[in-house]
This record gives sequence, C-alpha cells and structure tokens, in this order.
Amino acid sequence: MERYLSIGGSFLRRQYAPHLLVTLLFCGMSGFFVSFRNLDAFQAAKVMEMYVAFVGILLMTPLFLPEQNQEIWLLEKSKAMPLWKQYLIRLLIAAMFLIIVVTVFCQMMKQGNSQFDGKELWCGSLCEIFFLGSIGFFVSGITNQIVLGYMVSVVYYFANIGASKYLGEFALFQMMRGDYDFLVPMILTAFFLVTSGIVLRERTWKKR
Amino acid sequence: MSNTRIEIKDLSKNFGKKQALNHVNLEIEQGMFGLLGPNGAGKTTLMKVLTTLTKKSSGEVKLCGIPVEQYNDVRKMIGYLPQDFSMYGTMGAYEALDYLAVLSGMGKKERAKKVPEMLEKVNLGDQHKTKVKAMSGGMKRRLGIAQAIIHNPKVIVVDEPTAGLDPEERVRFRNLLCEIAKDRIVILSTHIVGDIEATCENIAVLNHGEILFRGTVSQLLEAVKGKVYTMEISSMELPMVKEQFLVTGILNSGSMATIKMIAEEPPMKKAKLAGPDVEDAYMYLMNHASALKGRE
Amino acid sequence: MFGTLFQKECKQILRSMVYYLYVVIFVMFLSSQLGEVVTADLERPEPGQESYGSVSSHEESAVMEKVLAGLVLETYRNSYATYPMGFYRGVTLNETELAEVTSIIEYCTGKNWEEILKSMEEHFSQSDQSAIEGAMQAQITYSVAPKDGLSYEEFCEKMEKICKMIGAGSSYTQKHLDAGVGVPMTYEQAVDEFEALCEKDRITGAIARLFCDYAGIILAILPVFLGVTRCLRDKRAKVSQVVFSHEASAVQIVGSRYLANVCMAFLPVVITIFVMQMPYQYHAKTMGIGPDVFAFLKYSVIWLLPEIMIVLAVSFFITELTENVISIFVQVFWAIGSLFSGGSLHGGFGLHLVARWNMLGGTNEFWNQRQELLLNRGYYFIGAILFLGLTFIFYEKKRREGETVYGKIFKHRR
Repeated sequence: MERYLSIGGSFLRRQYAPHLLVTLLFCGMSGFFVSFRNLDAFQAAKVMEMYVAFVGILLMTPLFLPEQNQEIWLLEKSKAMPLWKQYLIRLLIAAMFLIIVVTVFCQMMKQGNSQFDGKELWCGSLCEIFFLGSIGFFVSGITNQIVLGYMVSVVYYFANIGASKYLGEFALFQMMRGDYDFLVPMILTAFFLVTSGIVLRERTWKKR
Repeated sequence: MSNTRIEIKDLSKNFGKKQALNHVNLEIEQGMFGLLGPNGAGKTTLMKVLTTLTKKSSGEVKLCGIPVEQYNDVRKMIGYLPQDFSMYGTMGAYEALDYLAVLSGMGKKERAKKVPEMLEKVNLGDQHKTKVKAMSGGMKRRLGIAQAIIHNPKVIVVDEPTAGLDPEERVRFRNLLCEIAKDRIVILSTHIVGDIEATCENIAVLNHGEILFRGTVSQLLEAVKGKVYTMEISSMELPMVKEQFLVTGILNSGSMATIKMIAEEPPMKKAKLAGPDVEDAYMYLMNHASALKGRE
Repeated sequence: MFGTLFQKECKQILRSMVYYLYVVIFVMFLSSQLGEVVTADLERPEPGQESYGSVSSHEESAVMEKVLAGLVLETYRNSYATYPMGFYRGVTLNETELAEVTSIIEYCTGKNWEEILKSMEEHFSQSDQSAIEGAMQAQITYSVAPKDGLSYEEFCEKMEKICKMIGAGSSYTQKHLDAGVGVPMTYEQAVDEFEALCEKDRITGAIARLFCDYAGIILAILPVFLGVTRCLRDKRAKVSQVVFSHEASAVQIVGSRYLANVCMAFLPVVITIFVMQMPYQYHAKTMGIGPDVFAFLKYSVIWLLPEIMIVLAVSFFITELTENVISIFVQVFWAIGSLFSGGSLHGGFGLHLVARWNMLGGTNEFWNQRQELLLNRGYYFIGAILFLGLTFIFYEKKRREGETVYGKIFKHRR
C-alpha cells in the first residue's frame, strides 16, 4: 500500500501539480461565468455540463505525461510494478479530484437556493465529465501525444454545441434537456475508453 | 584572422548559489584538446559557455579572437555535439543533416555536395534514409558529429561523445575526431580516461569548477612517475590495502589478487614499480585534490 | 536560409498527425454548418410575402416595444442573460425580486401580468415552434406595446431599476437601449436590401461572409494545437541545444516555423471556402449577376488570416515561454469568452476575436460596419506581429541564458 501511495504522491508533486493549479484557477473563475443563485434543475445542469465539464479534460488528459519521454517509459516498464497499476493510481487521483469538484459545485448551487435533485445531478455530471475526460485520456494514451488528447476532447465538446443530434447517447448537454437516460451507456463507454486506452497503449508499445 | 585559439580568462559561472565554474583560466591551441573530469565537474557548463548556450557570470572568453558575447559571429565558427544529441524522430539521416546544415547558413548547392559527403565520412552513406527514431546510439552520435563539422567550423566542441558506444564504434569515433582536428580546435570533454589517452596531446582536468591540471599527457604522467606499484596480495588483505592506499586496478586470480596502486613511498617490500598510465595519473590527481581540499 | 527553412517546416507539418486532424475537423465543422446550398434567401422579394426578415431600428417606440418583449420573455423563463465581464452569465431571480420585475412590467404596459402572458402565448402559438424558422419569426415579430403616455425617459429609469436587480451587463442597460433593436423589415426595405446584395456583395460576398462567420468560430481554437505541437517538438525530440548552437537567428528559426504554420493552417481554409463558393457563383450567373469571383480570397484573408495569425502567435509565445501545454487552456478560454460574450450574432465586432456575421445577406448593415471589422482585424494583425516579435526576443534570450524565466521560477522550486 505504501508503494502505491508514494507513487501517487510523487506523480502529484512532480507532474500533476501544475494541472491541478490550472483546474483550481478554472474553478475559482467560475463566478465570472456562471451564477449559483436560484437556479432550477435545467440551469443547474447547464452550469455542470457547459462549464464544469472542462474539468474532465483538464484532469484526465495529462495522466500519461511522464511517459511522453520514451526513455522514462522504457525505464518504468522495466520496474517490478506494472505500468497499468501506475496508470490506475493516477486515474484514481484524477477521479478523486473530479468528485471533489463536482461535489463542491453541487453544494455551492444548493447554498445559493437552487432547486434540483442533488443526487441525480451529481451522478449525471460526474458521469458526463468523466466521459469527456476519458476521451482525452484515451487519445493521449494511444498516440502518446498529450496535445492530441486535448485537441480531440475539446473539439468533441464543441461538436456538441452544433451537432449533438448525431451523437445519440454520447451527446453531452443532455441533462440540460432533462434527459438522464444516457447515464448507463455513457459511463460504460467511459470505462471502456479508459481500459482500452491503457491496453492499446501497452500493446502498441510492445510492437515497436 | 587566422589565429586558431581559444582564450579563457578568469571565467566564472554561477547557478544561483552553486558555482559551476570558478575563476577558470585556460588557453586552447589548435588540435585535439581533452577536458577531463568527474561527472558534475563543470565540463558541460564550460562547453556551453564556449558554444554561447549559457551566459558567463564573469571573466573573458575569446574564440579565435572574437569575444563570446558576439554570439552571432561565434556561432558561425563553432560546431557543437551535445551530450544527448538527438533530432526529430521522423526525419531521415539525410534530411536531418540537411536541416541542420540550413541552420548553419549553407546554400543549396553547397549542401547537395556536402551532405552526402559527410554521411559517407561518418559511415551513414548507406543509411541516409534511416529515421532518427530508428537509429542506434552509435548512429545518432555519428550523425551528431557530421552536423557539427559539416559547415567546416574552426572550433568543434564535443561533449561526452563516446558514452554509450560499443568499443569498436568508440575507436572509430576517436579516429574520426583526430582526423578532423588537423586544422582546427576540437574540444573533447569526457570522464572516460581512455578516450583522452588515445587522442589528445593537450589536456585539462577539471574538478568542482576549477582547473586542477593543465598540460600535456606526458606532463600528467610525469607527476605520478615512480609512484605506481603493482603487487600480488591475498584476497583477504584487499580491504586493508584499499583503505591505506589508492588502488587503481585489481585483477583477481583465485585466492590471490594482483593490484595496481599509487603511493609516495614503496608500500611493501614485494611491491614492484610499474609504468603509469593516464588513468593512474588522473586518479592520483583527483585524490590529491580532494586530500588538499580536506586539509583546508 | 529563410525560404529553405520555411519549406522544410511545411514538410514537417505535412507529416504530423495533428495537422491532418486539424484539416479533418475544420472541413467537417464547416460542412456540417454550411453543407447545404441555400439559395432561397437569394431570391428577389415579392410584394405580399409573410415576412422579409428583420432590420435594426433606433426609433424610441420600437425600442420600448422590443425591449419590453425581451423582458417579458426573460421574466417568463426567469433566466436573464448578462455579460458582466464580457462572458455570458445566466442570472435567476428570487421570488421577491421577480415580483418587483413583474410590477415594473405591469407599470410600463398598463396591463396585468396574466394578460401579458396570455397574449404572449397566443402570439407564439400562431407559428410552428418546432421549426427553427418559425420560432425565429415569432421572436422577431413579438413585441409588447408600452402604455400610452409612457415617456422614453421614464422607461429608461425603470429599466435602470431592473439592471440593479439583475446585475451588470444585462440587455436593459442604457448602452443596450442605445444600440437599437431588430424590427421586421418592410417590402421596400427588403428590395433595397436585395439590391445591395446584388451590387455590393455580388452574391458570393454574402456567402463568403457566412463562411467566415462559421470558420471564425473553429479557427479561434484549432490553430493553437498546431502552434503548441511545433514549439514542443524541439523539447520532445531534445533538439533545442543543437538548434541553438547553430548560426541561424531567432527570426529565421522561429519566423520560418511561424510562417509555415500560418500558411499551412490557412491553406485548407482557402480551399474549403473556394469550393463552397462555387455553387453560389453559378447561382449568381443564373440570376444574371456577375459574381465576385475573388470574394472567397478577400474575405478569408481579411477576416480569417489575422485570426489564425494571432492565435498562432500567442500560442508560440506562451509555449516558448513555458514549454508546456498551458496555451491550449488560455486559447480555449479566450475563444469561449469571445464566442459567448455580449457581441451580437451579426456585427458589433468591437475587439472580439471571433467576428460574427451569422446571416446570408444583411449587406447594407455589414457595409456600414465594415470599418469596424477592418479595425478589429487590423488590431489582431498588429497584435500577432507584436507577439511574434516578443517570441523572437524571448527565444534569443532563452538561447543565450540556457533557461527560461518561467523555468527559473517553476523548475528550481523542486
């Protein structure tokens, strides 16, 4: 257990800290962009889906950052602890921060006298944000280029502004329309993306 | 201006509180020049000052009469092979060399002539299409030296060039450097003593940012002449001997061991005087320096 | 040296996955927005049509009618759009505040709230709300008449009260009232408009504008990925030291990279707009109008090129400074901010990064605002050059001192 903690801690300090800082800044600036007062369920969903959703991209895309350097990748591969365990630890850290952010935002809106089903919104936004993040995770994982991960996930977000009707259950912004059916397929896809991201990453590397 | 010479006067370089170079004075003439020292001695910093990649804190540095502050002119006459040379992975050998040649300001015709010539010279002629990411360490180094000499610079600076090369490649590489050094300055930094021994006549030894020794290889050897001994001892005695003397070599055979050591006086009766090599001299020098430092 | 370096950079860009993704996303985005050829709006208006679209008006009675209509709609939904920092922020009121707003509406119209709601519902039920055109038409024609004898000054005072409740940057500020409102166009105005479309825009100009509107949105983000990728490539491949030690100057190295990226980013844009202009060019000929064949080039160079330039210049600058991906976040923020900020969907260019003109036509109005657009784009063009200059200086400094200012602060901390 200690080993996992120390690996997680080192990642947090050495690589993840700047990204957390950006996330914090992003959350801190929310006051300029969204209101937390007297919202109804749809407006609350809008805050989560259109603003907080970015946190998924911010937190989950840079998880493969250390291994962008191939030598570090090779080195880590030679160690006793399999790399997927490391990835999993990082993923858990990211998920933890995601949960904190989503909870804090839900709470802030509740405090502002907004009316919405807290549990529903919490689950829904977490699922959606995790899904959006998992796209960045997947792409940066298989290409080993963080920039591509950001690019695809950001573009996916924008595609949803204009073309959500083509995306079916995987469309973002569904809660804003009062639709919560997407939860199960979306979270399953997110998990699929995360796992296949890790598996494919290691596969392609072996081939080289 | 035909003076092929590097003058370094009272050069210091600080990184925050850490002093990487401490009042270094050095003159380097045409030919191969070896810069020897342990890891972290300040070799790379010195080379970076010479190649305009880092600013000196104080002192004066002139390359062929041109102060290093005139970095545009200095860059024109240097070729640099950094410690971990690399190029864009997707480029082939020819392409990479051509790219760097452009950065050196070479025209199209000149490149078309020189690039294949250089690749041939460093034995990459057959592999001019090999992508950099598919290259072995040795191939990358050879490409690195090709880019450092392609524009025919007066000064070539190579940092740890043989690290990570196999023995055969190392020898080839050293010969290549010697060949190049005929009419220019080649500064070679290394912590591998063998490289210096085989190639350089003039050397400097650097430690903790200070010059410990400056002269020729034979002068360095002179300092340790009559102080190198070999003897055969039992393996049991080894720890004790190591503690008392500076042991530079151990050859185990069964329960006995033949050791090479440095001592001011004959250490034991059975010890025989031996011919020193550069490695012994270097060890002696380093040990002496740290002993001096300890006494301060 | 510059030319050769430029060529080599272009070649390198052609090998990067990011570039192909850039092209694919750009083309997909544009064709999803502009895929169908719309020529219906390009017909000469006939007398007796149901509607002719809208036009902007500064008449006090018109302003009061439309502003009240907007206020009723927003109050009905209890969601007020505000742009306090230039970014969109939805405001919801509590019951007492809401009651006060309704009482102001009641005062201004001289009717009670239920009556107003009833007539609003009647108005909107007349048109088909499921189709976008129907909904838009209903929005344009919806207005709420102020009571007799309500002076414009008094009306403004009341709106000021509302502003205090909703907060800064709402649609009821004096600034907004002064900006005028959209009212339905008459037949005469529509004919006038159509003639301007034929003479000034020569059809293709209008479509080029619409293209630039959509392309401008996506180009506020996409080029940043090219910039970041290029600047980080040196770090990834560990070639900065080698490149630094060569003779080429920062202007030659960074300049050629920048120019190559600008050109390669602009190339698919020009090609796409050219292809999309073709059917309209043909259509103009069938209408007996000589189309402006070079409209695509004029508009894309003036409208989109400065945008690509500034996005790339800022990303070059930030990435050379920090050597990480932070400029992506900056750019996304900037783009979204500009997109959702107070500017209208057509015109009101101000200093917005994304210049919008989301309609096919509006020729007269556009030509009135043209100066503003040119100023805006000129500003970004100069901005891009400035940032590029800063990048040169910074790159040379980094090269001389061996590390970045940013690196000094952040890397030595560990």
